[in-house]
Amino acid sequence: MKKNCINFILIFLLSASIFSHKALAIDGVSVLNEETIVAGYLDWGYLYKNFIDSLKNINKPEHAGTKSFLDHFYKRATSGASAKTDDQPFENCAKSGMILVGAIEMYDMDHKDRLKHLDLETLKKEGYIRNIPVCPSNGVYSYDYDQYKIICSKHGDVRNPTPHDDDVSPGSLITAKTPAEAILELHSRSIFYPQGKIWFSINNYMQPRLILEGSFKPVELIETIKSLIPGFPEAEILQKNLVRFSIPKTFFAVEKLIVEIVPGAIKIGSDFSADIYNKGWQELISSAQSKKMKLAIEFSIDKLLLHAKKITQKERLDTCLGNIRILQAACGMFGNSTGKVMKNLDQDKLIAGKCLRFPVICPDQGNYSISGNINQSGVVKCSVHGTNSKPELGSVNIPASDLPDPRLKYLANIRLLLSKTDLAVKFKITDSNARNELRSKLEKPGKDAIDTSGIKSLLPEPLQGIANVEKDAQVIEKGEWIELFYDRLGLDFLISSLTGVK
Amino acid sequence: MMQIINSWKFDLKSALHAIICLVLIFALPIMPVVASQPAYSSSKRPLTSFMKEFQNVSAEDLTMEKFAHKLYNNSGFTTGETGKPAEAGKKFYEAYKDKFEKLYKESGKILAELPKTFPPEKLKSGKLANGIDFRFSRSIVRCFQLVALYHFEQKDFQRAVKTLLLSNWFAHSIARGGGEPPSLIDLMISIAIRKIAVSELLWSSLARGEFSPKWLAYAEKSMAELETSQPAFSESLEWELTKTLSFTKKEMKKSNSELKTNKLTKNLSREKQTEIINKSFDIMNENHKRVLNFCTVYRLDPAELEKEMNHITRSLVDRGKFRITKILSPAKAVAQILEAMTMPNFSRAYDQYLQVRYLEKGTILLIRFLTRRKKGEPLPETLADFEAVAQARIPRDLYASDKSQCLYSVNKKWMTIYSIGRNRVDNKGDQEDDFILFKVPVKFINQL
Repeated sequence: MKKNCINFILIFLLSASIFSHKALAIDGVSVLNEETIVAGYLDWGYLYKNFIDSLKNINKPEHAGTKSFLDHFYKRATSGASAKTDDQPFENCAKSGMILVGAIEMYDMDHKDRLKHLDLETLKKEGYIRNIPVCPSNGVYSYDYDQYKIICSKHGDVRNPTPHDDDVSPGSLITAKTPAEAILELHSRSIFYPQGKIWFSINNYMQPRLILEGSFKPVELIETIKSLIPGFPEAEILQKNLVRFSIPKTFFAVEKLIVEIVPGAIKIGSDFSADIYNKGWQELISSAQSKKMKLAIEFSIDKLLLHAKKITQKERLDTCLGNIRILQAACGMFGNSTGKVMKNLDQDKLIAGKCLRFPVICPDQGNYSISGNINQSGVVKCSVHGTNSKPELGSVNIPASDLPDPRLKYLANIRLLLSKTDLAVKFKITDSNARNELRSKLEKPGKDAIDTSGIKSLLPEPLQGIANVEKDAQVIEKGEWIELFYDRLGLDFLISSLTGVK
Repeated sequence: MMQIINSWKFDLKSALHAIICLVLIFALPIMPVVASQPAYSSSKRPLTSFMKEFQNVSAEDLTMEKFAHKLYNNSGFTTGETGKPAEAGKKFYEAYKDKFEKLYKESGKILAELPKTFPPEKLKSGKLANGIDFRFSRSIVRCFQLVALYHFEQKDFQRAVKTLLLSNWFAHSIARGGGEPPSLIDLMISIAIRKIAVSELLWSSLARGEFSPKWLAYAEKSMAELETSQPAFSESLEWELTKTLSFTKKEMKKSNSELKTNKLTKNLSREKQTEIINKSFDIMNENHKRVLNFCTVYRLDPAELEKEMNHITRSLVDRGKFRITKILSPAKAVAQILEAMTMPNFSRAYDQYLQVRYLEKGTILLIRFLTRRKKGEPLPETLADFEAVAQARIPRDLYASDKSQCLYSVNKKWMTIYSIGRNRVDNKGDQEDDFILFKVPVKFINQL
């Protein structure tokens, strides 16, 4: 039964990795860069192996859950590919064809000469269609110039289409093969074979990056998906390993998706070399060498604080430069209305003269002053940020009191390492007092214990009650790290808890 | 048997009779209601100015406004046949003759007073008063314009001018709130109405009217007082921002507000939530002050204001995006998201505001010119000549790079003063592309 659960996760990850995010990137170079805040890996080779094992025995009662989930996913994917689940393929073909009719009408209105042949590339290039419409039964469209008709090779005139033997109604697509059989066949042809890890990262802007380790044959993979799921979004191979799927908006709410498929397994160590940005991630990378480790996630708080500092610096500079422009314009107005030159910046005078509405204050407590004759080429400058022509970044120090918890300042990293049998949650704390405080709180249960209810409430419901810090965890201190070690909360246990399967 | 049949017949007759009666009973009261249903939306805040007298204008009568559309983009319509729009104006005037005549009688008193504003304490209360019916307000002024056109055609120029000046006054009353703090939309509606009221029909009526100098001086005074006392754009914007801020703050403090139902914040203590809300509103308040400062210092430089506003809008959109770093400063995150939602890019609105102020300033200039021009005197050839006759300065063109004066042009057809407008190109007084101060048919001036 555990295999069932593993399969759920694998299918979820597969679907999520391919369809979930518009900004998805599988770049094959590095999952880590300067912007990375969260990174980790998942041993999907292990999950895939279990998945295939269970597919081989899919009809056994213990795999009923996997079967049902797979069927559900398959139906969703195929029905999503149609514009509307209730429509028959010939009706959807007519809809696609009518898009071409409309596009040609528009083209003819805009051009001196009518379109003679169905030139889809021209229609797309000139903006009359966004995507090239496809017949769900793989029919080919042609254009009858004299009759103004779009004809599908399978359904005839799109204004009056007729069903075809090749039509397969959405929702009842699983005819010749079951999804399990189809995947097993795919597996046997070795065109898709996950090995090793999925590496993932999230940057400050919540953009995910992924690297899939495994063996893939992109062209064959696309052809197989198309044959498995009729009407699956058309894919075009842009470059050797770059594939673009044209996905209707109704399908997972994304419009276009570019997926880079990396052939061959990636070797750890070659891609994650000693890049300056990756230094902080070396321990995480090293942990992947251990076959025992199935999942690792690291949240770099110090990088987060660094980003926050940079963003705040930029925002404050922007605000201050805006203030300088306001003051310069106000001084100009003052000069025009009074005929006097303001030598020393006097905001009260500017307000009294209706040249300024509110006093302006530098966000970094800089002082504003006038340099030169402001009515001629003089400028207003800030003691921290300089002038508009020579701006300087202020030295922002985010006060601990501004943070949701002042102790966050000393928390550099949070790392989660999950093996088949155990879980370790590690905190890197740079200040010894803060470290001692946390350690004593973790070791002394009761009213002084850390209140984890807030964090727990964010977890999926089945996981909320399983870990009890004071009872289940072993607290270990190693240098700057404090570790909570749970010897029973391994991957197998968590999957069981999540799915309810014992 | 016959008796039964007779009684049945009688019953049938009675039943039919009863049905007809019932239909009549129900239908009769309904039909006039449909026909004379007031156009003013009952769900909206009633008007407070003289226009409340017209709130009962029927929806059907108000549809006559469509004839006013024919006047737009039809430069020179006062010099030719006025046709159907004037006929519609006549119909509307006659339908509400008593109200119009009463209004004309009281016009002196109305125009001599400034429209009502609002008590300052209402601004920060966080209560959003129901708005007035904008659609009605615009449509009724279009009907007023048709009535003015009818009077113009009847050569009753005094009534035509009065109708349009009252429309202008009504527009000013909307921008000042009429008892409630106005929003930016109120100002925009006011601007739209003023563009209808202060246009070729008013200038032509003034030129053809042969008004006494005393009457013209009165019209000038009335317009000038409205023009100079109107709220500065930064004031209107401040009202809008303060109102939005107070209302949002009040909403956020409610127990079921978005912030409190948010998964990430629902576990925060009440004090922490209040602290976040208060801090975020302090941040927003500071940013609003910055925007209002820009509005103040660049009030004579719409190009710079537009540049700054575009910059602010871009950075608001950018700052409003989700980033993981936002969890470190929730108050700033809340402020940035709210600002991205509530802060308008008002630079276009400011252009509209300047455009309508030019219209009003121009009309005052025209009145001064008409008052002081001697009979038979040739038309001024230059801007300086015009200034000499009107004994007034032509305003600076805020859209010209050198901020020189607005342009004066006279030809066989038109006498025009205009600003080059937001496209910053001299389109020779084109009504669409330039900002007109006034544009009056020369033939009417030469009749004087």
